Amino acid sequence: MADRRSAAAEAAGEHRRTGDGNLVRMVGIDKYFGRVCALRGVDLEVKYDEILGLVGDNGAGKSTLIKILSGFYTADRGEIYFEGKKARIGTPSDAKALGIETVYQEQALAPHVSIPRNVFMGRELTKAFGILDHKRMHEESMRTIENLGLRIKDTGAIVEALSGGQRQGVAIARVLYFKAKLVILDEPTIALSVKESQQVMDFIQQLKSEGISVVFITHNLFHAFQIAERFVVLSRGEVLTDVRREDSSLEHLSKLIISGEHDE
Amino acid sequence: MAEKKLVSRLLAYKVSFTLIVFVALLAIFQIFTPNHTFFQRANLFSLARLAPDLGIVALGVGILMICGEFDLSVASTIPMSSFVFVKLLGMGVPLWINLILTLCVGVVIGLINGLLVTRTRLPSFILTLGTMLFWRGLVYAASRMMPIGIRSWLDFGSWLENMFVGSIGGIFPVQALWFVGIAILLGIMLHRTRFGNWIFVTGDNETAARAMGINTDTVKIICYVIVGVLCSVMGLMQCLRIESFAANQGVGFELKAIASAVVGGTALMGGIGSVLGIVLGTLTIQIIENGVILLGFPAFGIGTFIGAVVILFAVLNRQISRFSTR
Amino acid sequence: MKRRILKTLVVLVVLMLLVATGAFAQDKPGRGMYFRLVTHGGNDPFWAVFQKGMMDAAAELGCRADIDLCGSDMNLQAKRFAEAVAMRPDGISLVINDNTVWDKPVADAIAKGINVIGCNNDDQEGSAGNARLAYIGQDESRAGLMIGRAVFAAAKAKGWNLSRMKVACAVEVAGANYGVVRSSGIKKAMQEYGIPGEPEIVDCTLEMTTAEQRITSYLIGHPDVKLIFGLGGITTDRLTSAMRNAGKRAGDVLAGGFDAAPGTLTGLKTGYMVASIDQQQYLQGYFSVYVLYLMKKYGFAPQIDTGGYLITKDNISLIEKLSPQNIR
Repeated sequence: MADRRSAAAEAAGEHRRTGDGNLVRMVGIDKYFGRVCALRGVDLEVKYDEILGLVGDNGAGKSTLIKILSGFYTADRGEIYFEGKKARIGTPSDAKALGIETVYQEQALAPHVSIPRNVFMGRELTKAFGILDHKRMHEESMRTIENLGLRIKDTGAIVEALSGGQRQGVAIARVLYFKAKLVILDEPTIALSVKESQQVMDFIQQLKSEGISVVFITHNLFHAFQIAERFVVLSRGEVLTDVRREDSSLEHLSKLIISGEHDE
Repeated sequence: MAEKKLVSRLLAYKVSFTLIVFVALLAIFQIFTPNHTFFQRANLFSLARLAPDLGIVALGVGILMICGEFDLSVASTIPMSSFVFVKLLGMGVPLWINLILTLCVGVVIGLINGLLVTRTRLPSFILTLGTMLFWRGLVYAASRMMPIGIRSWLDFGSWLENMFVGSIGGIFPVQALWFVGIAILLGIMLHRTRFGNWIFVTGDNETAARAMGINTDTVKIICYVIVGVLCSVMGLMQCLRIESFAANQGVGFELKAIASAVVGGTALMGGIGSVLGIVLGTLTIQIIENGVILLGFPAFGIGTFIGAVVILFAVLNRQISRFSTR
Repeated sequence: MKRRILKTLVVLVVLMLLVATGAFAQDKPGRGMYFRLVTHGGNDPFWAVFQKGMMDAAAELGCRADIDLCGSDMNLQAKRFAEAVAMRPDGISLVINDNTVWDKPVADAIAKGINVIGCNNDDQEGSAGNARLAYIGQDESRAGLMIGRAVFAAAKAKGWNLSRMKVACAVEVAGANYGVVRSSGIKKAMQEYGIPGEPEIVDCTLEMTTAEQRITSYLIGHPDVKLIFGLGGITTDRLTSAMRNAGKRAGDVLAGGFDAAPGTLTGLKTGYMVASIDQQQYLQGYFSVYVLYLMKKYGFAPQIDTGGYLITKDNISLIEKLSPQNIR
C-alpha cells in the first residue's frame, strides 16, 4: 500500500489532460427500447480523479446510461467524448480499448473458476500457441489484489469460496490491472454486509488514488454520500440535477429522487 | 490446516473422487470375478477395443457441457457419417478423400447445431433432440435401414482400416491409442489454453464472459463442431470395425455420453468438468458393464445396475462439490 | 407474369406425372386398391426386407400399399391401426404381437367390413384367440426348435457331452415376445438333446457396440458356456466378433441365430456359426399384399407358414447374392 501512485496514475498524469478537466463527456444522449424512451437528452460529465455517484429510483435509466458508456448498448442520439476526443463505443471491446471498464451487478465473475482465470477472463496471458501462462497470471493477479488492499488467504481458491466483499475486490482488481482510466460500478455494495460494503468503498477510494475516475450507481444514498464527490440524479430518463457533495445533503437527494421533480 | 488444503487441492479437479472409485472398482472386480478374469488379456483388450467408442464421443459431449450446452444429436451423427462413408466407398471415391468428406459430415452437423443454438437461444437440449431425430430419420429413409457391407468395395488390410481399427503388433487395439491421443489433445486445449478458459467461463457465467469481450457464440459453435467431428471419427471407426454400415449405430449414445461426463464430474449446469474426469467416467461406466457381467450377475437386467450407479454418482458429486476448490 | 408461367408449368408437369403413373397401373389387376400393413418393426434391416416384399407385390399388382413401422411402441401401433381402419383401405395386415390387446380392435374392424389379417407375429391361440381372417408368418417356436436342433446336432457330432453343457441366448430386448418364443423353441431342442436347465438370457440392447461388448464379457466370464444363440438379427450379427474378442477359435463355441446380417454371413463362412434362420420375411410382406388382394376379390382366407429356412455354409451363396438387394 506504500506505493500510492501506481504506474497507471503516473501514465495518466503524463497524458495531456483536457483543458476543461473532463475525462468523459456524454452530450444529448437519447435511447429508446422500441417505443419506450429510456433516456432523453441526458448530459453527463466525469472529471479526472473524480468519484461520481449516479443515483435515482428504479427505472430512472442509470443502468442504461452506463451500459451505453461501456459499449453494451448504443445510443440512438448524442455523442460521447473521451479525453477530449469524440469516441465510437459500439462494443464492450471498444470501451475497454479506451480504458473504460465496468464492474457489473452480477459481479461478472465465473464462480467455479479460479481467481487468476477470472481476472484475465477474455484477456488471458499466454505463451506460444495460446497456451496459458498460469504462473504469470497468478502472480500478476495476486499482486494487483494486494495493491488494492485485499487479503485473500487461499490463493488457489475458486471465486465461489470468497465472500461477497472479496469477490467485488477481485472484480475491481481486474479493472485495475487493465489500466482502466474510468471505472463504472453498478450497485457495488448491494447484498453486502456492513463490513464488506466498507471494504468495497475503501477499494473505490484506492482506485481514485491511482488516478482513476469512478462512476458508480447505487440505491444506497448513505454509501454514496460517504465517498462520492459529485452526484447526478436521474429520473425517468432525464437528468434532475447535477450537484457537488458540498452543495447537497442526504435529505436533499432523497427528496429529489422521491419527488422526481427538477431542482429549483 | 495444511491437510485440509491438500485434500481440497486433490478434490480440485473433481476427478479425485471418480479416480478413487475407479481404482476401487478395478480392485473389486479383479478380486471377485471367478478366476480373476477381469485383468485377463482377452478382457482388457476387448475393453480397449470397445470402450473408446463411447469415450471419444463422451469427450466431445462433456466439453460441450462444460461450455453450457447439450448435444443429443451425437446418436445420429454417428450413423450418418457411417452411411456417407459407405456410399462414397460405393462410388469409388479414393479413400483419403472419403475420409475427409466423412469428417466433414460431422463438421456440417456440428455447425448446424451450433448455429441453431446460438441464433435461436432456445434450450439446446430440445434443439439437438430435434436434430437428432431429423438426421436419424434421414439416415433411415436413405438407407431403408438396410445394413451395407463394406467388403464389396474395401479389401481387408487397407491403410484406413489399419489406421483406425487395426492393432499394434497384432494385438493392442489402435482405438485405445486414438482415445488416449484425442483425450490428451482435448485436455491440453481445455485446461491449458486461452480458448479452454473461454469454454469454462462461457459455461460458468455467460454474461460475464460476454461482458469481458468473449464471443460466446463462437465458443459454442466451435465446441459443437468438435463434437460433430469426433462423432464422425467414431462412426467411421465403428463402420470399419463391424465391417458395415448399420442404421442403428449409435442408438442410445447421447444419454450414455452425458452419463459418462456426469459420472466424471462434469456439471449439468456447465462451467465445471475436466477431460481426465470424462475419461474416467467413461471407463467407469464401461467397466461396470463389463465387470458386472463377469461377476456372474444375471445378464438380464444390467441396465438397472448402470442406471443406479449413475444416479449414485450424480448425488455424490454434488456432495463433493460442497468441499471442493479449484 | 413469370410467376404465372412457372406455376402453370409445375401444374402441367405434376398432371403429366399423375397420368403417367396412372397409365402404368391401367394394366394391373390390383389397380385402385389400397392396403395398409401395420407393424411393430423399424429398427433393423429385417423390416426393410419385409417392406421390399410388400413393395414388389404392390408393383406387380398395380395397387398401393403403405407400411407403418411403429418401433415396438405398442401405443403408437394401436394408434396407427385405428388410423388405418379410419382410412377404410381394401385390407389391413397387422403384426399381432400381443395376445389380448388386438382382439377387440381387429374384431371391430372386421365388423366394419375391413379385411384384417395377421402377419409376422400371431396371437398365441391362433384363430381361437383373435378374429383375424388369416395369418402369414413364421412359427417362431418352430424356428427356435430348428436352430436349436442344428447347433446341438453339430455339438453331438463333435462328440461333446451335452448333458453337462450350458446354453446362452443373447437378446436385444429382454422380455420381448420374439425372444421369449424363440428361446422356448430352443429349450425344446435342449430337451430333445438331453441338455439340462434353462438357457441363460443375456440382455444386449439394440446398439451394436454395446451388444458386442456384453456378449464378449459374458463369454469371458462364463468359459464353461459353449453353446450360444442370438435371438435377433443384431445379436446374431455380433456373435462372431464377440467370440473372437473373447479369444475363442472357430468351433470352440458353437453358435446359431437368426437373419442374415453381414456379420452373421461372415460367421457362417468362417465356421464360427453353425447356422442361421432366415425368416423369409420378404414373403410375409409379399404375401400380405397378395392375400389381401385375393381376399378382397374372391374371399380367400389362407394360412401361410413362411417357414424357417436354415442358412448354412453350404447354401450361403444364394443368400449373399440376394441380401444386398433386400430380398433375403
